[in-house]
Amino acid sequence: MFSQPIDRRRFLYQAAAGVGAISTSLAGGCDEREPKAASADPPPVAEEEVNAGPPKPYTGPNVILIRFGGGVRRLETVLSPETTYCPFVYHELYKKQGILFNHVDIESSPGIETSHGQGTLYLLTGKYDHYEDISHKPLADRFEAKVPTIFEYLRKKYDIAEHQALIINGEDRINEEFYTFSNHHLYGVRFRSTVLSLYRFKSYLLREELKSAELADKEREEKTKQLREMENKDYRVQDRRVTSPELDRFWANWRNYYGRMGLVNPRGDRVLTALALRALRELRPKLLMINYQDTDYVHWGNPHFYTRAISIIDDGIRQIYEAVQADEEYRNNTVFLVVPDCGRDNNRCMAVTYQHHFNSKCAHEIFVVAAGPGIAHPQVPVDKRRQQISVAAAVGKLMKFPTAHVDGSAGYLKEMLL
Amino acid sequence: MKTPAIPEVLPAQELDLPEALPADQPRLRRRRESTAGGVLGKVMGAFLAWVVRPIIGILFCFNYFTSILVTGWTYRWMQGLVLRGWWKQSRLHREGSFEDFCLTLGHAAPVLRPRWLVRERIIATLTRPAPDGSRPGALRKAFRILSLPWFSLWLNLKVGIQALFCTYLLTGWGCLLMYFSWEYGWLNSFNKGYEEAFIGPLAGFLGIFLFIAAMFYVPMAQVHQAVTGDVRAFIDFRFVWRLIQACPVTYVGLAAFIALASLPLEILKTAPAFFDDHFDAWTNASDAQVLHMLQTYLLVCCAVLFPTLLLARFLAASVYRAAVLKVVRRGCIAEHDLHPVLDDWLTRLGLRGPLPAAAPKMRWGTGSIAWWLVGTLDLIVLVAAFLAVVVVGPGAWPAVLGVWILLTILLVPFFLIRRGALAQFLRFNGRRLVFGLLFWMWFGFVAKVYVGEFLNRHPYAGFLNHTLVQLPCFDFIPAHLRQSAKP
Repeated sequence: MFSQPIDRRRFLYQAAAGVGAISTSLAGGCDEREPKAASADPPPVAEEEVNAGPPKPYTGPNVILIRFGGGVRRLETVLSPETTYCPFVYHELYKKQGILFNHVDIESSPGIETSHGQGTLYLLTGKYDHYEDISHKPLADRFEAKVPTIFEYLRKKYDIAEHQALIINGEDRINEEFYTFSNHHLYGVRFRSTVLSLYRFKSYLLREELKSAELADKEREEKTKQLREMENKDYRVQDRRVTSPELDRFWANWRNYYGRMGLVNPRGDRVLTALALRALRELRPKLLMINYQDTDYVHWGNPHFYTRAISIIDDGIRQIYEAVQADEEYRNNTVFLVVPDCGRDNNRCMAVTYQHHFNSKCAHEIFVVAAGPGIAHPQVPVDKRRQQISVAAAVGKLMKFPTAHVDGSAGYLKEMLL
Repeated sequence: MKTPAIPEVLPAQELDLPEALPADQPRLRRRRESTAGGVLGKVMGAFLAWVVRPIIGILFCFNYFTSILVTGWTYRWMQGLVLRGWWKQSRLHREGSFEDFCLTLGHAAPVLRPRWLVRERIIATLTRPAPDGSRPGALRKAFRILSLPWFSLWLNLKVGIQALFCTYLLTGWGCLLMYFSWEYGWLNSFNKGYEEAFIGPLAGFLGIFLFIAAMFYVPMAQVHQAVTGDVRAFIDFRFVWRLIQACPVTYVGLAAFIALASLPLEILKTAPAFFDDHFDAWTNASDAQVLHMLQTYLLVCCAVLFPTLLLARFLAASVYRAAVLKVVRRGCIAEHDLHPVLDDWLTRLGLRGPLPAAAPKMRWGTGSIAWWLVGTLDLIVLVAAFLAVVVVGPGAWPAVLGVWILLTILLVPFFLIRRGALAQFLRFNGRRLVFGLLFWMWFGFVAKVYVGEFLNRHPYAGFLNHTLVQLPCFDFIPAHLRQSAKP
């Protein structure tokens, strides 16, 4: 038999490489089309046990993943300097420093939707899937990931506090509050990320109010009920701690600065930028995802909502970038990844050609801009077709954690790594 | 878009001389009908009436300016329809043709099949005496000849503008508020102006209610204006409300038809949201090709719109025709309430009875202040009940039903103390029901516009023009496509 015991890790590497090579050669022999995005890239490590043992301290680069959200087209963002509404992303992040993948797609397959919740989960999990609303309520869009998110991979591998794996969400998409972890049995709530949003601020305020001994019984009852309703929206974390001293301190500072009423703080997507800037200062995240969303207002038909929202997001990215450069710990140690959750239609029969993202051809067409230390700067865009889900694997490569459950056939945007 | 060319001259469906003679010469008419030329003329007339003119109507629905002509044309058509309906019910129906009767009304009498361009009753126009009763001079005749090629065009335009002016006078406020609410409301939402967040929805609700309130009245008023040919007739509130009260069931049916018929039109209007970038034939086409394909599609939509509009006008004319006879026969209006044109026609046709010097009071009648108040109260109760069901859950239904029954029973004592109480009570509740039905029909009409505009926004036209009520136009070609398709 064997003189030495089989190294399971090496065996899985070799098996995966072999399967990859066979599938590549088969695809090459049977079909002359361009192979599915970067299928030649070596697949990510496909094992759970690689993380066995206590988590290690993290020393790699910080990553700021910006969901250029609400769905945007290439035309108004990265196609050309004449048509862009996001000059900072185009000129600074792409042209001066980073790399642009201008043919990134969302796969066109049955069940793969071009919408915000789905797009965010594709980015987070690195896998296309058909998501169904678990609440069975109209327009609820409550999805649950079946495979781990990048935050779970990161926190499983490294000793990173919950408040340093952050998602920043907008104020009116409650459904996106619950993408912090998957239902995967080896990952899940133990390795979840933390959400910063006004929704969370409101629940913090309620908790603080309930601490007051002066609260009347009836009022206490009402506020407790209200808090329970807010917290119980995610049935999976009812028995878990949803606060931490760091978060409480963060929200206390927010309250002290902006007050309680919600009319002083920035609004719309600007509040995401404000939260991100404060988070960088106070929570020191290693992996930060910012879910911008306001371009989606163009669903109601006013074209300038879209273009203005792009510019507002662009300005937010500029502020965050400048904050990073002004911070010694973050400077030269932070990678920016900018990627939309989905594209938008390009329907010439409509007065507003980009009013929706109805799973049309253009709604599948997005881009990725990356910039920062360790990121290539080829000065010309990468024209090869890439997949949106490859962003998760790319984050894994950057932060050096295995992404065992991502769709390895999509690759990891290898051109961006030096 | 290029305006479809109007045919140079529409083949005339002219009356020959014998038909222009007074109606009391039936023998001449019969002799004309028996000739081969007469038969050919009738066939040609029918061809023009049922093929060529609708085709022109369809083409005219494809442009905002020409759709004004369509409005005018349909108003003139309704006028002819109503008059012909009364004529068929009169003794004159057995004594002569409808044309014979119309000729007794003068050269400007209604026509059953109006023309788009050329004047009707050419010979009668040319030979009619001068205002002083003398034979027309050469100069007068020359002027009349000059007017022949375009008089119907002018008439359609004039009637169309008058019709739209009046229709917008009542419906326009609601449309404007809905439009403002959509624009401002979402603008405020985008900028998160929480402090003024109520203005958008409030303006929207107000606009919807104003539009619905106007639409309680407008369909009947449109026919009244069309039939009398008088702009002021549109605001003849007392008369029009009496007409609505006279035929509440059929009027609700008319509202239902317009609301339902507008649904496929809304779908057709919205459908292009799913053409380009969804189907390869569209996605891969050049801008010019997309423009051409969209034009073709919209032309097909016009071919649906125009017959639907005609059907809606036909139904409206039928309801009006029956309602006028009812109010006149029942004496529901005063002598002075009857429009002079209607008075003249009905008198000639022998359909008019004596009318009281003063109209009976409206009391709880349709259109009365009390009717509006009770109807609005009912509506508030219904909406509150609906909200209760939403908040409390299905368990609130018995309570809601209880409140409804209580509200109905509470009013019984007020009626029972008088004679004919039961009939009065039933009529009262019937009118409440009419209010509720009309409201929800028109609410459905408006609601589908909101859904349609969310799916495929049409700046301005989406909220400001409802094709079956205002301008019958289906020109939804985006300006950017016209521009980019230019060579």
